[in-house]
Amino acid sequence: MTPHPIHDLDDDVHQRVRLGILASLSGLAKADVRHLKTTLGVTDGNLGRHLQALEEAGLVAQSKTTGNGRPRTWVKITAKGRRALRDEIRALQRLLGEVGALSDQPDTARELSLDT
Amino acid sequence: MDPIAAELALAETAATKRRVDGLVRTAMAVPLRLLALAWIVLCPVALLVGRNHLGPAVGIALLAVTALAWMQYRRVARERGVRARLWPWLGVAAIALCGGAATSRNGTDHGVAWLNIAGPFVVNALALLALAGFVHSRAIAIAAVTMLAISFIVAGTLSGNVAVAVQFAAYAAVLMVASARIGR
Repeated sequence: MTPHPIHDLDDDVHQRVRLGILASLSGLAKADVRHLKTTLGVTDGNLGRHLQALEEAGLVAQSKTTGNGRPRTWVKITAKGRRALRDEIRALQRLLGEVGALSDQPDTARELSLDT
Repeated sequence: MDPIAAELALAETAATKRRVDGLVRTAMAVPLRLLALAWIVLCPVALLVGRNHLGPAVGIALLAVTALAWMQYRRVARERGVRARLWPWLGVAAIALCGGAATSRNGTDHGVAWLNIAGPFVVNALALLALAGFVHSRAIAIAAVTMLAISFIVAGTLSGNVAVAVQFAAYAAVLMVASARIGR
């Protein structure tokens, strides 16, 4: 018997903000925390907690710089993070495919089938 | 898991990726615009030094484009907190330089004039076509196909250094239009 696709969802990734963080970083070399905060519309504390969880799972890496006397925290996605994002999207697509919901959203399915 | 929640998560991820893809395309306009300017500069150089001695000039031009793009990416990162990846451009530059030199040399060695004249340009256009696929840009893809058509027409109608200079000018014009479209 084939296991239900829900078992393919990664607990480290499967959360709205975490998925947003990984998707935001997927095409970039790096982004600073303020950019992520604005893009995702979350508070510092909320973002910090999710970034810490993603970093502990090895999905993102953080670094700090001081340019113009202003400290900045940069975040970049790791190779493991890219794979995790791709796998999560596939798992969600499979899950929706099983209930036939994805057929209503062909554009979303096509966009996410591209490299992540 | 609730299918509606899964569908919402996918839709949100798609929307976020769309925004990021837009940022990546806008960033890619920087080296492409600089490359177009380099080709304009190389146009008279081709007439002056000859098509078989362009290697060093093309190398210096690509190096200058890379350095300027890198500086621009750093500036944007400082100001906006987003740093684009330079390696897709580095791939295009490496293919353009190595592939261009190899096809030109092959054309000369085997006495195939069209390969010597249009070969390096075709390699450039193919590298840009690959880049278009990578950054999901229709504007770059259209530009690359237009460039291929230009090379086939030029190779069939012109010869010598003039053919190379005309291709530099035409490619620069096409790339300028494409980079203006993606840089908006």
